[in-house]
Amino acid sequence: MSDTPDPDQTPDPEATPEPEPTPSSDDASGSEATPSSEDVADASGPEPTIESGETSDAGDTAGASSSSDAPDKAGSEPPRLPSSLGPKLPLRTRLSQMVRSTAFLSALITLLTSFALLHAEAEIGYVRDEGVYFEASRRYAAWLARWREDGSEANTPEVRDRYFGFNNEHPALLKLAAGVSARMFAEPPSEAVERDIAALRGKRRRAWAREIAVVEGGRWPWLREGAAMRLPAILLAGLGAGLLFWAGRRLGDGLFGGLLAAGYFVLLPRVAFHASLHAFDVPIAVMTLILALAWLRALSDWRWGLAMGPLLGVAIAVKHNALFLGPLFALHLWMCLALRWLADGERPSLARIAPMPLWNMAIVGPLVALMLWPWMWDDTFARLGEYLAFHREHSYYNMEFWGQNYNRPPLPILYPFVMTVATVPGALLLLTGVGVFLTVRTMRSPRTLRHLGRFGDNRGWARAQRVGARPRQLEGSAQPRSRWIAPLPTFDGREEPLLYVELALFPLLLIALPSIPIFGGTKHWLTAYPFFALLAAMAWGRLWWRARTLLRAWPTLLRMAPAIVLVALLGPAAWSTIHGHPYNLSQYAPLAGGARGAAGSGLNRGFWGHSVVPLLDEDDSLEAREIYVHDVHRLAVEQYRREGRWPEGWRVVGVRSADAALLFPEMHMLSDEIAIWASFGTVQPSMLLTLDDVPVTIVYERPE
Amino acid sequence: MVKLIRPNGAVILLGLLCVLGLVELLAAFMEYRPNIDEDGWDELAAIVEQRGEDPVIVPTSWLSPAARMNLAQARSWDALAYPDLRSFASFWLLHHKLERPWRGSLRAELEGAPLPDLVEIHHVGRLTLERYEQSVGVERFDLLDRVEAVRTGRGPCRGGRGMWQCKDGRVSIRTLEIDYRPRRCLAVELDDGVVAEVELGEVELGDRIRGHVGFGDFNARLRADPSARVELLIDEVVAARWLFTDDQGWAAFALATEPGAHRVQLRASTSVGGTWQRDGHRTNPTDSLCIELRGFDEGGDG
Repeated sequence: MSDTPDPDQTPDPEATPEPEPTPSSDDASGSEATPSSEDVADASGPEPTIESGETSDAGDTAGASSSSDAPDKAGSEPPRLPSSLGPKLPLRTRLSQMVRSTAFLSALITLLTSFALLHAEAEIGYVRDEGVYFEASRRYAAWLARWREDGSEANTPEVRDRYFGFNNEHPALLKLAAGVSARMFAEPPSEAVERDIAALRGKRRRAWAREIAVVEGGRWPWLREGAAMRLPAILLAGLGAGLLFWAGRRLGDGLFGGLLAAGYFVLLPRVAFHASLHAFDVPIAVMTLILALAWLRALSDWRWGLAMGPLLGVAIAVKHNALFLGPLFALHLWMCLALRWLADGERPSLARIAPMPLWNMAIVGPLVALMLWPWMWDDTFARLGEYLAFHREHSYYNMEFWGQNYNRPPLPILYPFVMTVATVPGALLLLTGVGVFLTVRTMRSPRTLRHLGRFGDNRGWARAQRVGARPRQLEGSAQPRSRWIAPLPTFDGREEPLLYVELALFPLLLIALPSIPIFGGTKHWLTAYPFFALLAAMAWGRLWWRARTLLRAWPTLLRMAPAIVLVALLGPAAWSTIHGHPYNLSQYAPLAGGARGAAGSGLNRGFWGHSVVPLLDEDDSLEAREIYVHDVHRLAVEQYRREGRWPEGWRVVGVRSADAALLFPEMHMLSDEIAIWASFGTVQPSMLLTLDDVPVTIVYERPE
Repeated sequence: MVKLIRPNGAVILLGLLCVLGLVELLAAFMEYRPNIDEDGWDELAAIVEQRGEDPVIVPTSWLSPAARMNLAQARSWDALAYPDLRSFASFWLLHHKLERPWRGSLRAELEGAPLPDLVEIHHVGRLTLERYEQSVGVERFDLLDRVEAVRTGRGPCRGGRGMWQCKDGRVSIRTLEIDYRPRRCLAVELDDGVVAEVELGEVELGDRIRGHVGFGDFNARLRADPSARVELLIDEVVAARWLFTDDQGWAAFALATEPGAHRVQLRASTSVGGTWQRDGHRTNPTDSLCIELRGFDEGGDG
């Protein structure tokens, strides 16, 4: 580990001189028998030749983690030696390096997260929206299959609209992916589906139903149809965790920083719940993360700039939240330029104010989004207008907040902030707050954070300069000039945290606006949480970097402490999620008192009528009967039936003719409960599904 | 700011984070578990049973379904859809140990009356069962038990035993959601402006008549702005007239009366029913006017 001072690090007037920190906490905690790549790098002496490998690597995110600038970077991805410069490493060492590499660990976390979510999803009932999306997915995939068979005959407006007219208020991409996934991995539907089709009148109606129903099942029938349709969103959630580990490891100064970032996101109860659904909320959060990481690259690399348009198009095709991203990225760029102008008098040119990545997003993004949504291929402008109007004039949902039911705006401005505090463990939020604090610090002195790594310095110029590369190496690599295609070729340390703060705050501020329709719960600002996680990882890295200076006198403590603090930070979220499963839509943070404390404080207990799975599994507890299912969507019931999970004897009827009734308690649902009391002549439930005593489903049975 | 994260500052902050995380783990241990089991409910049932029919009022809304499932005394309309706490000389209160029930909406149910006397307290699991007593006036009559006939301007309404079909709608004794609470009342659901004339016949009055008016349910209230006019006739003379809007929730009214036998009639009407939507007025959903009325002999200034 070199102790070479950073030549690029100008002294901070507020900073007091400090001794150089000791190696990374993560490294300290994991004493390896085999020499690490860093050991090897050190063994090669102070010669900064290791830089050449990274200088040429446009994709290396550890761009600023030089051994001299950030001696604490030992836990992050080890720098690679050019093969011509280093000795041939033993296989064991190379395997060890590979296993510890960021790419490998990110992939592993992606897989583990996806498997965990897929394993647990069966216990989560189908929420109202999913019922609709399942049906839409079947129809959309049926069109794809028909297009494959019939070619252009299937691609007429009349034919397309027949398939895509259903649920046309949301883009089609994720539903298409789910439909394709079902045609690949879904088990054949139950025999009841065949019977239903056979009972239909008219040959054409039967043919249409059969085409949509996919009675033959998928090509590799490994999963329930619902699970197969949830798979694309689950994989995206896994990818989100992997990406967070990848970025968090760099920002958070090592393995634990990466684990913190990934765990912060996927271990939140609300995220874990929504990540398991065939819905758009976690997918759009992950797409926002992908776009943010790509945008940081696009500021200095034209190739990523070219990718921004298509990527944004894909994101818009997932959910309309992405429509805000272009303006947010533009705002981010302009803030960065303004800060430089203020600090250095570097007046931005027009080419930098309106660079290629922004134009690309503005032009290519919408085109790609339209291309991925066949409903929009005909009568485009009118349908686009309908789509935008639907969301602008979204009908108001009911939402309980502090004992009041809100069903017309404005919701209290505090609503998203209180709900975030109530559902995200406090220690994690505090760490995010430290991250925001550090970002504010970078406004005045951007170098405060530079040792934590910078994003987009893909030319390695600044890095090479910092580590004192030989003049020969710097020849021809003068500091790149800003251009229309790459408006910020080098970062000064504030670009990345500033973007994360912007993207963390925007969703909450948007929902807090008094004029915004009342949409519902925390799912509407899940897009903020990946950036909460990255800000926390950044703070984590910074705090340990500082703390190590003091703690190196106690090596045992230094070795153990990071793991202990990490467990203390992620433990409450993990406990909350595991305990709350499968009712994590009703789960609250420990300091909010969990579900019980939140219900006592008058916070929403859940919605969407999903908590029925135990009733389906224990069908002997409710005898075959006419059943009123309250908030369970009829298409969700249809999905249970398709999978053979809906008890044979259950027939869905209205409350007056039912002999059993379900009730999903929400403040505004009292009228429905009173209707059950009146019809059944009893107020005594026969069964309760609860989370820590708080009913999530109430079952009534008509007395004999 | 840099000073804030000098090494000792960073260690302190990390320590704080660790402590906060451990406190949250402890809180998770405390909160992420049920607070009462079957045996606990049996114990509560046994305690409540000793006092006969005293209603068990559950101000903790999430606890109410479990209480109704396990305690017979929590299932009566008295316990569930009471007009106010004035009705009970004694009652049970079941709530979570950490909850302060009299700080919340329950206090409003006293409508200015003094806090009842706490005479018993039991802790079962993390639930608390309290028994209260209070001095209340003698109840002389209750509208819900005394409706003899209902008529509108188009003639008498047919029916009885809690349901009267009129040419302009219906009048019934029902439980309705008023301001997100169940209330047992006379529900008047007639066309706009139609007056329901409710005949109570000869009634033994005390020195007070107390009542409440509200509108159900939330969906009808959402995009409507109805008002209600309620008149009380004693011996065919209008003794009082009140005007209410749907924003008043469960609005209370009172009238001093001359004790003794009197003929009592009630007239009630609403202004405009239905709801206002983007495309104009719709008749459905429509509000239900909910009226409750009782006579008391309170023996004082009231």
